[in-house]
Amino acid sequence: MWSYEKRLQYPVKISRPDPKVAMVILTQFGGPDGELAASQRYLSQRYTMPYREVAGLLTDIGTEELAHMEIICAIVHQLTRNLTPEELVASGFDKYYVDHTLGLWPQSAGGAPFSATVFQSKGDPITDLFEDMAADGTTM
Amino acid sequence: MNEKCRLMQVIYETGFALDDAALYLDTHPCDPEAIQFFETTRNYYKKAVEDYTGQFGPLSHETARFTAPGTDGCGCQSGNMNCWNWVQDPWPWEGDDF
Repeated sequence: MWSYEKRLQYPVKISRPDPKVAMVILTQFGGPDGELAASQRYLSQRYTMPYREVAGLLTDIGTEELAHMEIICAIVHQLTRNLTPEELVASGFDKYYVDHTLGLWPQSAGGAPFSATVFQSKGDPITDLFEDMAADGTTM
Repeated sequence: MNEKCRLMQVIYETGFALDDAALYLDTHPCDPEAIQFFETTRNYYKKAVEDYTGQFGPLSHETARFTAPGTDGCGCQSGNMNCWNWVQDPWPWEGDDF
């Protein structure tokens, strides 16, 4: 199970909203190389990992990716606060807003909904670790 | 920097170090230097969490308290039982406090 710690892993405090930037950063939430995909990749792969140390690593990294997801969502949330209708239209955020208003929804910057097809879980340790390195290079 | 911010900064820094040290220990479980680092850092972290939650509100269900109605921004009417302070402070994503 998981329990929630009421703090971000790294603080986010944004004073000036910028919906155009928010639209780009949103992809790190629900895009093909986003934190949602990263967390589900590691947390799905760990069950068939035959090495205890690596299963532990997948668990702990997958958990940390959930914390990264929260940081990204906090950034997008704070970048889209207190917008006027004019700012919405001028920034191009209106196309997101019409479907989700200011709710956080996992999609890429280009509007493609989050998809589990962006990661793999094959039950083979070498295959899965290669997939992890391709997706998240520096951490594995 | 006030005491609340100072303690939260210690929690951020030691918490981040513990996250990284744990990943290293997963694959190097017998490294004495890493074990020493983890234990020392965890003590700082635990002390800062204890000090923070004792004064400024909970960071987990375990550290949540039942406080008197009307305190901590709670909207409960006086005469009620004490109320759950987990939901009174800003949520971390609001970026207000830290």
